[in-house]
Amino acid sequence: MSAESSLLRVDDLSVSIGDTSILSSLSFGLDAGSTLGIVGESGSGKSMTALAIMQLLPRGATAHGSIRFDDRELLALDERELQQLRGADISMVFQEPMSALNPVHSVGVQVAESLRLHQGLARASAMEQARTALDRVGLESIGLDRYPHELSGGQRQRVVIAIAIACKPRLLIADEPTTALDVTTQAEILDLLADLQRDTGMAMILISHDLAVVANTADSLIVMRDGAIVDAGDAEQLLSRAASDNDAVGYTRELLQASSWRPSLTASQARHAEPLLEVKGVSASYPVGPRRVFGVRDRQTVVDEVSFVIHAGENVGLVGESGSGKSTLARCLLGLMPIDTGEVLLRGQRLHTPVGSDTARTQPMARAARRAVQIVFQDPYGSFNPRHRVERLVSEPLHLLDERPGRRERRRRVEALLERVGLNPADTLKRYIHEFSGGQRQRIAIARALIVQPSLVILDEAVSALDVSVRAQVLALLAELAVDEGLAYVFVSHDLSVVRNVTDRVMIMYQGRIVESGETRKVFDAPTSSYAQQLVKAIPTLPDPAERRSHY
Amino acid sequence: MSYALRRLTSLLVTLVVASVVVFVVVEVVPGDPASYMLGLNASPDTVQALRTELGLDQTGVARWFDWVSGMLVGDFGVSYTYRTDVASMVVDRIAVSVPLALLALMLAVLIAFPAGLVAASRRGGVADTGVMGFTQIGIAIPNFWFAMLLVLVFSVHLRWFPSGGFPGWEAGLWPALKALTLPAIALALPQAAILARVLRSSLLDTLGEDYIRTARAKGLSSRAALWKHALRNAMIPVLTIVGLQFSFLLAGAIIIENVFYLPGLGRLVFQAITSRDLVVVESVVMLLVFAVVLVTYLVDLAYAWVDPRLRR
Repeated sequence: MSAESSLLRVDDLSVSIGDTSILSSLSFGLDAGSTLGIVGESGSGKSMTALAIMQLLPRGATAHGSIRFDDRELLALDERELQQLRGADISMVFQEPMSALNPVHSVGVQVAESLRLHQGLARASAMEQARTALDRVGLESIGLDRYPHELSGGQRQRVVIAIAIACKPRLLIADEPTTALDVTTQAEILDLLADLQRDTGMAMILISHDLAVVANTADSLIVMRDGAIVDAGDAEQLLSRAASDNDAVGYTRELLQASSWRPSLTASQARHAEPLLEVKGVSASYPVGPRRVFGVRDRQTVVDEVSFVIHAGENVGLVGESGSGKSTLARCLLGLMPIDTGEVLLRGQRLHTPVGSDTARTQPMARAARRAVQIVFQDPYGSFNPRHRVERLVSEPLHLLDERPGRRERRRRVEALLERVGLNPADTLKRYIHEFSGGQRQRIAIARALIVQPSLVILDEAVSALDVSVRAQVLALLAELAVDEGLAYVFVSHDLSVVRNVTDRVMIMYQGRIVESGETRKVFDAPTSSYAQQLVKAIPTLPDPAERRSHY
Repeated sequence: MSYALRRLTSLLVTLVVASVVVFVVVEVVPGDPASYMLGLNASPDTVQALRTELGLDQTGVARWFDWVSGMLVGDFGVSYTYRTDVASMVVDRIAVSVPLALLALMLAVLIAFPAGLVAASRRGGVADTGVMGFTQIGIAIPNFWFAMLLVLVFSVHLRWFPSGGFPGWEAGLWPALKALTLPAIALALPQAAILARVLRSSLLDTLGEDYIRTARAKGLSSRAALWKHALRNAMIPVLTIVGLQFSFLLAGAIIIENVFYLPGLGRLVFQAITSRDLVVVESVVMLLVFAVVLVTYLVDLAYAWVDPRLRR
C-alpha cells in the first residue's frame, strides 16, 4: 500500500490481552476520502482493529505499535484528547442496530448529544442540527421525540449513522453495519454510506464477513485471519487475482469460493415423488394491542391464506424480510403455532387443524407427525440447554418414538449420528454445548433433528450466523444427508444467496402472503412480482472483475 | 395516559380482591369470631352480646359491605380490647410508622446510590471490594443487634439521641425526628446494603450494553456514559427493590419498634393479634394492603417514567 497515506497510517499494530495475542503486527493505510474494506471470519480480529483505532479496546487489552491519524499518534494521546477525537473526527457505526441505541432516550437527544459535546451547541440548536442529520440519512418522517423501540432495524441503523456523521468526521468506521439487516435494507444502508462519503469526502473503513458486501464499495481490501493480515491490496486486483486460478492467495480464494458455494444437487429425484407436506389455505395471527379486561384482543394476521406442496426429497426456500411471516409459517408447520384456518397434511394425514375446530380438540398433533417434521434453529447456542451434555441433547427427541430404545441402544444411535454429521463421538458425547464452535454446534443441532429419522427438516436461518467457510461445510453436509436419507428441506432465510445456491424451488413471502414461487433459477433470473424483483436486485454480488473495470 | 389508567384499574381490582380475602380469612373461615375473641371460658351470654355488637347475625355479604363502606368513609369500627375508635388508634400509629419508613428509606437510598455507583464504576478496584465487603456485613448483621449498638454509642455514651420512646409530633418537629433517627438508621442499613448491591449489579449489566459503547464512540468519558446512559437504564430493578423495601419497612419494623419502644403499626398488629382483637387486625391488615398496592402503583408509574417502552 502507498507509504504516503495521509489520513490514517497503522504500523506494526499488535494487541494482546494478558498473554493472548489478539492482533499481530498489522500495517495499513488509508487516504482521505477513500474506502478500505476489512474482510475476515468471526474471530479474525476485524472488530478489534476498529476498536484499536477508536482506542476503545476492552479492559485489559494493550496495544503496541503505531496508529497515526492526521499526523497525531493515537496511542500516545491521553483519554481527554481521545474523547475530543471520538465522535468528532473518527466515528463508528456498529453491527447491532437493535442494541446500539439507548432505549430510554429519544433519537433526537441521542443525535444531539455528540453535537452538544463536540461543538458546544445549546440544546435547541443541537436539536436543529440533529434534525438536519436525521434528514440527511433519510429519516425525514421520523420525529426527534421518537424512541428507538418505535423504529425498524433499518431505521435504527440510520439513526446510528446520523449520530456518527453529525459532527462531520473525517473517518467513519462501519463494523458489520448491515449484517443484522434484511437484504433490501442492507442495500439501502450500503447506498447511503457510499452516498454520504461522496458528499462529505470522508474516509471509510467498511468491515464485513461478507466479501460481496465490501467488494463493491472498497478501493482497497484487507483480508484478515487469526489476528493477522493475510492478503491486502487494491480491491479490484485482489478480487481478480483470487478469482483467477493461478497465482491466488489461498485464503482469499477460499473465502471467495465459500461465499458462492453450490452443492451438487440431484434435484431430479424430487419432482416425481409423492407430495410429502400439503399446506392448504393456512392463516395464523397474533394478538396485538392493549390487553382488555372484557372482550377479545385485536389480532394481526401474519400468515394469510398460504398454500403450497412439498415433495419428498425436495429443497424449498422460504424467503422474505423480517416480519414477512416466514418464521411464523415455519412454526405452523411444526405445530408450535395454532392456525386460524386451513389445514396441514403430512402424507395425506391431517397434521394440524385450526384452533376451535372440533378435531383440534379431539386430536392433538400425533407423535408420529411431530417426529416427521424437525427443525434446526438459527442460534445454535441458544437452542440448547447449557447444562445438559451432548448425549442427552441429541437423544432428547427419542421420546417421540413409540418404542423407546434402551440406554445402550440410545448411546449407539447418538454415536452413529454424531459420526454421520462429521463429529468424533468419543470426545463429543460427554461435553457441554459451550465447548463447541458455532459450526460444531450446528452439526449437533442437525444430529438432534435427524435422530428420529424425519422426512422434512425445517432450517430456520440455520446457517445465517455461521462464517462463510463453515457455512459451506454445513451446507455440504446437508446436501449429502438429503441424498442419503431422502430428506426434504425448507430453508427459511433472509439470506438470498444461500437460498439461490442450495434450493430447487423458492417461495417469496411478503406481508404474510406468498407473492411468488417457482423454480429457484427461474425466480432469481426473471422475477415477475415487483417485490421479488426488488429483493433479487438487492442481493450483494461479487463483481465480475471485467465488469468492475468498465465501471471506472 | 392509558398506561396510568390501566394500572389504576388493576390497583382497584387488587384492593377489592384483597378485602374479600382478608375478610374471609379473619371472619368467615375458622368458626365463630366472637367466641374466638372471648376465649374458652366465656359465658354464652357474653358471646351472644359480642355477636350482636359485631353484627355477626347478619349474612357474610352484608357484613363485608358494611366493613368496606365503613372504611371508605374512615369508620374502622371499635376495638374490642381498647374500646376505642380503631381509626383514631391507627392514625396515631401511622404518624409514627410512615415517617419512620420514609426516613429509613431515604437514608437507605442516600447510602446505597453513591456506594453502588462507585462500586460499579471502579469494578474490581479497592472501592468496589470495600463496598461489597461492607454490604455483606450490612446484610448479615441482624438489625436489632445493630439497634442496640446504636443505643449504646449514641444514647448511653454520647447522649445525642434518646434511647427510646416517642414524644409525639405535638412535642415539636425536632424532638420527634430525634426519637426516630436511631431506629431509622438501624432499619436503613441492611436495606442500604441490599440496594447498593442491586444497583451495582444492575449498573454492571447496563455498562456491558452496546449503547454504552455507542456513547463512548461519540466521545463521552466513561463517567459521563455511566451517568447519562447507564444509570437510568439500571433503575428498573432498583425501583422494584425500593418499592418492596418501603412496604417491608412500613409493617416489618416491629422488632425495631420494640427495641425503641415506638408506638408503630407493627406493634399494634402484634398486640391486636395476641389479644385476639379481630376488629383491629382486619382493619390494619387492610390498611397495609392498601399501602403496599399504592406503592406498587407508584413504582409502576416510575417504571414508565424511566423506560419509554413501558408507556404504551
